Amino acid sequence: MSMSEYCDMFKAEANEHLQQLNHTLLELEQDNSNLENINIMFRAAHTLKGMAATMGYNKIAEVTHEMENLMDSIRNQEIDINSTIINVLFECLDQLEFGIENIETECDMDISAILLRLNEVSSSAEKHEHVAENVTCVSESIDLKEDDIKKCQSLCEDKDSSIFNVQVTLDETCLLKTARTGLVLRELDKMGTVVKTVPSQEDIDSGNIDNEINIVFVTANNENVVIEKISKVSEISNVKIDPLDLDNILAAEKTESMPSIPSTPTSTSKSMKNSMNEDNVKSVQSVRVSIERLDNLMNMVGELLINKSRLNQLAIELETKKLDETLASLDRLTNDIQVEVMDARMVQIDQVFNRFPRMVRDLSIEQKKKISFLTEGNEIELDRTVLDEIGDPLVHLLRNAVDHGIETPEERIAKNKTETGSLNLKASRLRNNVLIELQDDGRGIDPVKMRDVAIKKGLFERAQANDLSDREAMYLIFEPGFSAAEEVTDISGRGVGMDAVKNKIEDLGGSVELESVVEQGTTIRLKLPLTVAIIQSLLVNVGEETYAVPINNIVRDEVIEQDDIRSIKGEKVVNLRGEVLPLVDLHDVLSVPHNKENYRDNNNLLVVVVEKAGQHIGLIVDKLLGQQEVIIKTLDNKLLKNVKGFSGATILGNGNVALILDVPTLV
Amino acid sequence: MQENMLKIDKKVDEDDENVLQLVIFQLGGEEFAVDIMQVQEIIRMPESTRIPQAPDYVKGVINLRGKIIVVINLDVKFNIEAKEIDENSRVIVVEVEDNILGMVVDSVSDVISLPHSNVENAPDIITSKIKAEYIQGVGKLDDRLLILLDLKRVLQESEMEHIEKIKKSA
Repeated sequence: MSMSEYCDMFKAEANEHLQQLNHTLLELEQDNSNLENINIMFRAAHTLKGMAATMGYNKIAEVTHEMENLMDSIRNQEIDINSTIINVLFECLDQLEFGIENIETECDMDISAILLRLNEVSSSAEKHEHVAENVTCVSESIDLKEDDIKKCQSLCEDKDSSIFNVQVTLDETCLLKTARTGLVLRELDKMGTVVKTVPSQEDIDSGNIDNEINIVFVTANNENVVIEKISKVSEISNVKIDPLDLDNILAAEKTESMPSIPSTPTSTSKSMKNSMNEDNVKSVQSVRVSIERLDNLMNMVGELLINKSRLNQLAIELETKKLDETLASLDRLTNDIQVEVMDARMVQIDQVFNRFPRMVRDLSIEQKKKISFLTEGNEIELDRTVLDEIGDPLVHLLRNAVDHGIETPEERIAKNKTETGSLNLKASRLRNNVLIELQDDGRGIDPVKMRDVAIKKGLFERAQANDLSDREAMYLIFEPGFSAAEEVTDISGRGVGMDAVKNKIEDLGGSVELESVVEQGTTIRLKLPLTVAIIQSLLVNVGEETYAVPINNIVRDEVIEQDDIRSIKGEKVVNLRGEVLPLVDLHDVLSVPHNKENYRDNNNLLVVVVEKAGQHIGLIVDKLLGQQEVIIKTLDNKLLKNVKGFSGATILGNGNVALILDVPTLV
Repeated sequence: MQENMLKIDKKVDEDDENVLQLVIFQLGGEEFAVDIMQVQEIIRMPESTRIPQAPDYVKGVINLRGKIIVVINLDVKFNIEAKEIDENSRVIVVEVEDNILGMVVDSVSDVISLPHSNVENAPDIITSKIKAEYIQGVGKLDDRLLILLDLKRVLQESEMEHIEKIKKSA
């Protein structure tokens, strides 16, 4: 494996941990009493640190190390979580993300600022710690368990000895803390019995020590002797010794332990539960496979499908019944393989959604707006290729909603709305599609304003604009170069307009719908295909040529009579049971060559009704050949750059190429 | 032994430098040549699918073992008259700057080696018929005159033409 492969793996894994950190930190921000979240974050940061250090990404390791220290203090309840700490941690995550994103130049990353910020909050935390120490007496700073106390009691009974709490402070400059502490403990062991140390023996062995060590120590010797002996060990800056009164401790234990004892078991059982969960997760065996491999597999399955349909066709032509059984099982097998491969490419939409809460939080702080953001349907799965593409459009839509949709708290109160605006992002499965809905309860889109802007921008004359229905006027936001925003802000209006969103979604074979009521809010619906590589399509003949129409676009098919076709403003329409259906003759659109003699002498016309941006359009075709699964192959040749109306081509059972119609750009 | 092999290798290399390997094809009564390094394969004319709205010299797309490839009519491009498609017609599949495409030709006759010294700049007589920038040079082989095509130019320019066409129509 080459370094770059390791690097990719590191990036992928590091991003997962970052995601987890972000997610948990958001939860912690909502509810800072749940310290289990800190534990989760600590583990994630720790793993990240280890990974980064192994790979030699020292800056990342350093930042995570400092984060760990901070989180450790929170965990030990030395500091209370406040918004400053949360913000600093968020900043750390951004810094880490930046570092991971630009991993090649990681060593040049400037982390001094972030380390300074981290130090600021931790040092303010240290003060907090000192304050606590000044108030509480030393004897309380060490927490003796029941069996510890019993041990002390039995030791005291045996000999004429007393219990001390020894506090040893190591030099700031002490390098081998473990060794120094070991020496101190050995000295103490010579004089008596060490009952308990804080930090624990394991922590000391693993080097997990601060400069201070608290030791509960039973000895027959005098205090001064003990101090003298310990002070002989070098690199010790201070030794403090206080006698411990067992009776006092026991009394305190009885009053204090009542609330503290139940809290300890719950937290441990919780963490135990968690570790068990982790084990469960780990027991599902999985392998990391690169997308490229899955893509190759997908392509090969595509070829297999083509060959299968070719075989089917040959069997029909040769009229051999013998092949039927084998072909049927081949059919089943290829179908199964296809389903498996498609499933393997499926990824939970959560992968895209989970970065949005953080984004909306930052945006709303920036905009001084109050927004409650909810996501739903995070478990819905989508094909990897689709998922990769929808991130940017969704970011754009969310930004729009925060920027233009939801009002400031003052404005909302004035309008008799709740102070906090709501923004909901919901994914759901709708047959072979995934529906993503973004709903806000903000200003809504005002058709009147839209018409005004359209006139101002010179897109329409006043009379033309007034002719537009409210719906059409609202849909103007999808026109290129149309921005309804009165002023361009940092957040939106940066050039990637709603038209880009619409184009992207339509490129993926999806559609965008818009619904908005003034002052009540806007809902934007994205309908996306589950996958892009293989689609169900209806094969049709136009003249002698065969085209594939994606089933996703098709509403139904109809037979109409030529005499029923009317012309409105030069466009062909037909009145079908009260619905006025615009007609498009594919012969004309595709400029299909035809000889006049056999051209539609029949009065009956076949029409495939398709949907485009919520509107129905009838496509006149000559023959329906039936439904078929087709593999989309792109037509990415320089020479075809300006060809519109096709989303790609596919290979038919007979080996010929058929073009796949792209309804949104065709008509 | 090894030394010998090295010598042989070197000799072949030297040959490569001085000699062009060319695929010769016929189109509208002329003989053309393209560098063999640009040619991927030569196939019989398969069924092709027309692409509406494509430039006029694009014949359509074909299925080449599962890959979809654009095929162009060189005769339309060069403004000469090709023969009707018959059993001698071939598609030369070429790769130019990561773009794979097929060129329909009347027939493919042979592959020859031509020393660089036999290639001259195009005389004006031929250029009157085919644009000079498409021609890399004229190769002389005995008494035959071979028009060496500069495929990069042929395909690059087609893009420019297309853009101009759009500009005019807009």
